[in-house]
Amino acid sequence: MNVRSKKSNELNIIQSVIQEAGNPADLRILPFGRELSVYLIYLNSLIPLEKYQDLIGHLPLDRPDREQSRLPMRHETFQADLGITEAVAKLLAGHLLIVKPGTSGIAALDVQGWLKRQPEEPQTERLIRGPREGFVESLDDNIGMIRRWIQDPNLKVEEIVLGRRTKTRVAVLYLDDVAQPRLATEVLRRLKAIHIDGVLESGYIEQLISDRRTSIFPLTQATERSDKAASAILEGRVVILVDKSPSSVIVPVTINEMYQTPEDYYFNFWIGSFLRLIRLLGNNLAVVLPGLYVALVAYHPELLPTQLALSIAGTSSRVPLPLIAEVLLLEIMVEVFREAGLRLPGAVGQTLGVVAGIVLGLSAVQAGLISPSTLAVVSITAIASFTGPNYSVDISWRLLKFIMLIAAAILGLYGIVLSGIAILVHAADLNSFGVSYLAPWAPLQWRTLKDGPFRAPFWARLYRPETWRPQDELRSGGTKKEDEH
Amino acid sequence: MVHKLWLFLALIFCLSGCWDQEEVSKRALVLAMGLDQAAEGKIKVSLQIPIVEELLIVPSGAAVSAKPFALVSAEGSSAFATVPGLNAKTQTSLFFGQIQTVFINTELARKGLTGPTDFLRRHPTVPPQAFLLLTERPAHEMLEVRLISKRIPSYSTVTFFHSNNKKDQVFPQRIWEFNRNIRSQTQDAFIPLIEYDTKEETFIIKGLGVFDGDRLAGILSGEETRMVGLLTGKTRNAYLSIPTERFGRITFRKVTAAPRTKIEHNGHQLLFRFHVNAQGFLVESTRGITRFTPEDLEWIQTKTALYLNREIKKAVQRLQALNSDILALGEKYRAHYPRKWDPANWKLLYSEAKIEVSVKFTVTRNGTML
Amino acid sequence: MNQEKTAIGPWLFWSLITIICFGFGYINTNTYNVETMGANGYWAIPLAAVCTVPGLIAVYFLMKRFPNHNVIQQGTLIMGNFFGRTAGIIYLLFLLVYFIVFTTDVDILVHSYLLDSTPFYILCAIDLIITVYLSTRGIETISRIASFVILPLVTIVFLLFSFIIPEIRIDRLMPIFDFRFNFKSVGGPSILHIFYPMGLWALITPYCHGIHQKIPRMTLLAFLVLICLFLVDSIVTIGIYGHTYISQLPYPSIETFRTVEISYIFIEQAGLFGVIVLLASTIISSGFSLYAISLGMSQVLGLWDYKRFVWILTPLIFITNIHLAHPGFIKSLSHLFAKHGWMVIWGYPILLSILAFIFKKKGKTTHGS
Repeated sequence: MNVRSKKSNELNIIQSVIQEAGNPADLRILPFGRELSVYLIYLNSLIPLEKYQDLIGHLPLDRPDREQSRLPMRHETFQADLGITEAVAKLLAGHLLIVKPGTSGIAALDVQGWLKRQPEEPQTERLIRGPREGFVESLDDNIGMIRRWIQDPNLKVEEIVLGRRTKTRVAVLYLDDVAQPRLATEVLRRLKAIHIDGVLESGYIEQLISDRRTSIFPLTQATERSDKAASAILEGRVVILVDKSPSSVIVPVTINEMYQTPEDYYFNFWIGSFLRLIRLLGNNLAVVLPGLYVALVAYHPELLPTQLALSIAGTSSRVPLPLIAEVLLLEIMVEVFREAGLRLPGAVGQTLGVVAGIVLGLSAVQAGLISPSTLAVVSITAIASFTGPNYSVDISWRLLKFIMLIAAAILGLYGIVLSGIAILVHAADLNSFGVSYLAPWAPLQWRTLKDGPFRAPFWARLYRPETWRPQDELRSGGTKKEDEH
Repeated sequence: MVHKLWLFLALIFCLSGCWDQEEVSKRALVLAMGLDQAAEGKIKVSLQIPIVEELLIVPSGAAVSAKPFALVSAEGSSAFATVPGLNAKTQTSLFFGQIQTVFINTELARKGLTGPTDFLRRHPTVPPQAFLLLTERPAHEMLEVRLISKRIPSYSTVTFFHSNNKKDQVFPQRIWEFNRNIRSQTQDAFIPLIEYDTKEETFIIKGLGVFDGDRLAGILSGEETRMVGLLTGKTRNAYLSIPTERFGRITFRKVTAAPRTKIEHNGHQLLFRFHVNAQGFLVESTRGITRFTPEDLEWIQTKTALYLNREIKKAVQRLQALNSDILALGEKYRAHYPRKWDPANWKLLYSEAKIEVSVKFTVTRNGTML
Repeated sequence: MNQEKTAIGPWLFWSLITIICFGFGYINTNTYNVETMGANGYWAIPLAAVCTVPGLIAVYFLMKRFPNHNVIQQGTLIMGNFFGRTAGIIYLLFLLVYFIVFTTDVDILVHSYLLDSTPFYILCAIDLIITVYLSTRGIETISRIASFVILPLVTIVFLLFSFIIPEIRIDRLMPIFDFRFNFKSVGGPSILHIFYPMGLWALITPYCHGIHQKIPRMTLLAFLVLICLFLVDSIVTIGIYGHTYISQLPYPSIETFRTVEISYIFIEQAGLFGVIVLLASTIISSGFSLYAISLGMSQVLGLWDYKRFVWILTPLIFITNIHLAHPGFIKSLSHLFAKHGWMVIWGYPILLSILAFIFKKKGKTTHGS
């Protein structure tokens, strides 16, 4: 084959790639190597190759492998002899395509070139004590963070690609000798069953693999904290990481996990247990308090202490609205302010909170629009709803609060009981990957209850939670007693 | 299809109409009630209803009305038959769930309280823990009195029963206890007698009204009430003052008693044996005597025991004379002699029973002087 | 692992039978006990437990012999299709009427104590909606709810009773060993009614496969807890009211709760909260009963599944509820069932076990429903 036909062969390949890729504006073709016979094709938006100018010279085009390349690489660093379609897929995924003379196939070299955020503490999962590290948008970085926590060869990382157009990489992590084998299999089965145009966030995955998609309760757990995800893996659960999403998905989950934070384990068990109880109390207050207030004041004032009943009667006698309307209006306004505060820039958001909470509230009381007792109840509810460590659970609780409020408005205390039972029935009916949502309360698992409302000290926590049915039940290492087992 | 069915059912829930909803500000809260005997055998019911706006401290500092409660009365052939009349006098519907006290006039009590108090046990919102009080004045007058410290009179009557320092002379009788006792064959009811001192503008507990069945049989004086209290063992902080030749008048405080009661049946007569172990803190000697020797204390103890023995016996004999078994001796008799127990016979046996009292008194402390 | 397994574990079994006995029993237990045994009414509870044992042994025996069948299916296997179905229908109709009487009684309780202005049929409807929702979820969900609720319920009940203990007068409970049974009057075997709901276990025995060895232990534990609960209830109620006054009260245990006063903290009338707690147990008991009856109906008629039957029975139950809603009538009906119910609830399993033993019948290894 003469030089001209070789060259035209390479040019044909390049032309085919350009055509297949849709001739994007950020496509670059860089002649390279001796005699400029090698062509590098890449997307400038994904690989700012100019940054790697000095390293390009070291690009081992003869035998590019991990040891020799000084560019950052993954384990699937280099693939050779790709067809046009496969090569374009790699191009779009951020790979560097190499068209070499004398080859009909295209080689693809993976270089990490796109912009990445530095790990920082998640905004919605702040702790007083604990690492300030949260997941970022890069799947590889996130896997790396987990690997730094769990340096165990049994840590399995399985990867699939989801989204017909977005081709989003999804990784499933679990400990092979701890997690139930069928759990990982089931997770992968559900992931592979997803046929969707694009996966933009882990929330898509959460909803698509959930056991009951119409439930108000979250049946998966989302976290941006790497320590929380690592802890879940150590218990025998499965963590799903999604590329371009800082939020990981942990399955299975029970209601017990919804009020636990890593902080409970970083302090001693007295403090950890106390914090958990406060959170439980806060959660319950946030759900029940407005309904209870309406039920007591409107249906069963005989249950109120006399002084309180007189005080409420006196202060609410001038309010034009019926009590339920007053409470509903205030609750809805609190939700509106909460949502508005999220969208505003930091300082303005804080100011809005102060203005809304103090100024507006007091003005409304003085104007006789609402009564002070209602304002107090709604404020306590709003603040108590922030005790939940899990944002998706907080939102679920806020919705439940409205259900109980309406039930209380219709039937008083009996309505609260009925709605409470209906909610419990719904929760009891839920399973998360085969695990009862109300575990360890229903079915009662005494061993796991040590990590329920109270956090048992480490020397008493010899076994992993039986809720996840781990293969290796014993948590070994750390104390002499554990080592003796 | 199933989801539509649930939605339909949920709508039933939502459309149920809130029949029972009535805010506390839209109700006329009844804090106290008075029952009087009216003319022609009718009953007069009076209700004390707070005016809630007047009870508040207004931020602007406007003057508050001197009378923060309203009094409404109506007469009817029965107690609850007066409610329509009472409702007609209030702008909002009456709510009995916050009743603190029920004043009953002694004249009505003497005629029998089964009928007048029946609605107190049947009405589901009337709190069974509300207190009953007897009064010789008309009950509606007691609801109207002005108190120097409290703006709502019914509050202060309740505090009598919550104060530990008054437990030697005030024995609460709640609605549920009263209803049980007037229908019981083994125990009779009692209600504290309360009066109002117009000069000092305060309530006074004068004694204890004791019942025979559902009728008021008599009133025990304060001293008799105290003795009965010692017999029941409910006294926590009684005061006792006895005259002595050697030490003047000796007064004790924090007098408590641990009574034991035995009933014996010798075939035709009952014998009640009361053994009382009492103790108290010596707090006063009007002769200012100090340095009590053990013999002195022994003498004081014996003297006090004799005094208590006499007074307790008098109190029990008074109860026998009134045919009122507020000490629940009938229950004890039934418990120990179940085969002999006959409710029809009990009151006769009770009134003819012999009484033996033995008291042992111990001076626990001398106070801060020797 | 990831499919729902239709079986219940030992703890779920215990929670279920404890809560349904408590839910059914607390309403009328003291009334029947004092009518039969006077001031010694508290002895009725251990006595009822002892008298219940033969029936439970019969159910256990049948469960071991026919592990994949419940009492309805066992009836057809032992007595043949015709007699088995007929007996099964009578058994289930009895349970259905008992259930209707019980739910009407509870609705009257709610109407009297909590919501007296709300029309009775609305209360019946709403109560039934929640009961139906629970019963259509299946045995696993119902047992999970029972497991979730049982510990707080027992704790709250014991706590509330402990507040009333100072009001007890020991003399009202004496003499302690003066047993004089009053079988001639309306009392009599009605004391056995506390443990009738345990008989519903006979309808769900196929779901207890895997825990056969633990059932005697769990049943004994349930007995212990129930005896404690009802004993405390009985002792406190008789101790504060006396046995003669109790017969005038429609719901003695509720009235006992209403006397609780915790002064000067937020709750003045703690008793109503106790009522709410008891109502929660009642709803769970109703849900399970309706589930069990519907399951039996579908099996005995060989039609559809239990969910359809729940929907079929619901309007019938609703109409009967609103027409039976007279307190005196309901109480006398309830008394009738309490007095004679043991013949059906325990009599049927005992009869089947005797017949199975005599005719050496054993179960086949086919699946239950």
